[in-house]
Amino acid sequence: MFINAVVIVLQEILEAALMLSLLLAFLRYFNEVTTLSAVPRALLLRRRWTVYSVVLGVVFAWLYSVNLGTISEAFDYVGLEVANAAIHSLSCLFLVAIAWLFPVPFDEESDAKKEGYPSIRIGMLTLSMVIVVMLAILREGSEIMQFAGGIIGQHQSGLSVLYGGLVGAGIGISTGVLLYFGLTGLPPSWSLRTCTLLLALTAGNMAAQAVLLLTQADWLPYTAIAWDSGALLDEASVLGQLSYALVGYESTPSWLQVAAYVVGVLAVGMSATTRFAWRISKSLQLRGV
Amino acid sequence: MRSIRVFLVTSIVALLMLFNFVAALQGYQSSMREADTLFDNQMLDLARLVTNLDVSPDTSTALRLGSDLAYQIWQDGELLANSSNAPAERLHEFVPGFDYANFNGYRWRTLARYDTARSRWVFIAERTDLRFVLAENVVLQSILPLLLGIPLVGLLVWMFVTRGLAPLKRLSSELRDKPANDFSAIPTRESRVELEQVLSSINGFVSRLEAAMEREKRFSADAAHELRTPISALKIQLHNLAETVDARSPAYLELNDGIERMQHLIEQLLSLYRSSPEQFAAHSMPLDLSALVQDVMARLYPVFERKRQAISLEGGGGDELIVLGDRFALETLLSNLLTNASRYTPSEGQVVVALARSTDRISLTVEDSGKGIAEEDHLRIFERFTRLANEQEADAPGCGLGLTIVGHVARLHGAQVNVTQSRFASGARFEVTFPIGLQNSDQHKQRGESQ
Repeated sequence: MFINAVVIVLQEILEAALMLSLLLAFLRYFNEVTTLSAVPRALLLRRRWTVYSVVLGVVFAWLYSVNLGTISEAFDYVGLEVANAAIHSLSCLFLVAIAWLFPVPFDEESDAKKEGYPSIRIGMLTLSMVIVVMLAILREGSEIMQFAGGIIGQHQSGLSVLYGGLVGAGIGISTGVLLYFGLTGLPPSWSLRTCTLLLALTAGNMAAQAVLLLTQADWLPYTAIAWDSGALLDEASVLGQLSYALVGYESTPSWLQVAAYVVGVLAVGMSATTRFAWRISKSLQLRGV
Repeated sequence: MRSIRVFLVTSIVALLMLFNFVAALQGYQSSMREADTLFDNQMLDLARLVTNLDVSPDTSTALRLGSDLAYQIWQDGELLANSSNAPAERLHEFVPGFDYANFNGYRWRTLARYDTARSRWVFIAERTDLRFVLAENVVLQSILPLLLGIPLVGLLVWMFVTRGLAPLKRLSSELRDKPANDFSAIPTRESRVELEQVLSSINGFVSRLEAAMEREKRFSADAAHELRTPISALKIQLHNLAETVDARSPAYLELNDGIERMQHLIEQLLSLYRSSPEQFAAHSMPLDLSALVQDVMARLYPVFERKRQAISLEGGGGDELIVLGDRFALETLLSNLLTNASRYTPSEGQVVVALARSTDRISLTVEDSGKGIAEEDHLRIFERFTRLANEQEADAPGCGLGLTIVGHVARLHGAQVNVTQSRFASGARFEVTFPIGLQNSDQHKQRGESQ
């Protein structure tokens, strides 16, 4: 039971922790670069929202796991798959929104201040971040709660599950912390590029998972397996788990999943590049950062 | 603001936790494999033991096995003996080696062994779930210390990092507490290699600053004194001139104004220099603010009269308005505020001086009916040589030092200066609030410096 608990808790915590680290790194980048420029402090992104979103996420995860029976009976007993697919699609959508809203066009600073739109934009950006983190915790938290609910009562394995859960959570949280320090330790322009890349891969991951869930619910047709890289990197290994959480690695994806992944990555990539990539790198060059 | 300590502690603990837990995971997996081999070897031993049993009707009682183990002995396709929990069918193919089987509602690890001497097949079975639980319980004992150790390690890392950063903390508090006029070097004997460069640079800056201050001090003092003498001479010459030329001629009046402005400027420069925190040597004594205000008002009365301005004093009658301060400095503060009020208030305008006392502070306000000061200039006016746009309209432009001196003196007395709109249709209101209870000259100094 120990190893099962490690795998399940690690998988869920890792996904949520990496998402949170990524967004916090974005936030840090945003605040540091805007502090360099003349944007008033009131327009900086606050870190307080992370607390709200974590609390909201836990509450929703609890509600979700309590009402699991009702949810799974919906839509001809595929309600759970459909609901999870909806959560994943929403996450993907808001990740694209973050990429779209993230920039503050530095060379338009004065115009932006005059028109007053950055505060609205920052409000929307904060809201998107809150929703993404909340959904991640809802997704992963409800699965941990289901697992814990199934185990409680089995006195024999209680301790090994507890140890397993702690080890899984420890690995997941420390990976998240180290990813955050890694991302924020990079030079600003590289930090931004890496964060955006990871954001794009996460969005692809969300889209692919949504497709997989809808296929399981028979709402989408089965398509052939695109490849099998199980021998190269086992999904169940720690490295496999990490790759799954970080870039959505799956050893046997279907063609439809691959297509959804590519669409997710491109959506983030395009909204990010069109909005800010060249602008920011230009302003960074001007600034000599 | 990012904290070095939080970064160090979090990253070290995260790294330790990651490596420890991944190692625990690997350890768990390899220990479980080892335990499996151990259990298999035990089964082999048991098989050897069972092979050598004398098969007789009471064998099953002679060899009592726990409920987690079962055996069968077969010969020529017939079951010779078995444990009570073994099924009637054979447990394993007649092929030597290990396998799995399901019976009695459990999954069992099975072993088949053929004994050529007795031409018997011996089958041993062991419940996998119990084997697993037994092995896991042993292995988990080795993981427990790692789990319990992390909070302890976290605490220790926190303590060591805090200790490691202590010299930095000491240095920063030393710098914070250093009085502004203390140019002594920070001692380096207790320092660390990493701070050596910082310390030597700071000490270098401080000694250069001291030299610069000394030069400035000498220059201001020398310049002021050297300039005072020729101006006095000029004034005497001007006085003498009045006997030969018409003292009301515009050229004479302008010359007189010019010399007075120059004299004022030099006096202000001297005051500024004397009231700067680095130079100020307080001669603090309890002063009656009310009497002081009346004194200064009386002395400056001609200034107001010249422009036919009304000046009045409110409050200060009943309350005891004692502040601990330097008489000369406070007189300078008052006269600068009043001269300013007069200067920027048109003829026949109004100036009101008010004194008030609350539980913890004494406030002095000077309000005028002049043009007032735009809000964006409220901080700027305290800078040296600041001239505002509307200053050109004043009939006698100042030198831009008056309010800087007011700021200096206020800070030296732990007081605050606020600028707001006056009670009149237009005009400025300067409020100086002196705290009561902080009337200790050392604290004055500290406050002055920290601000």
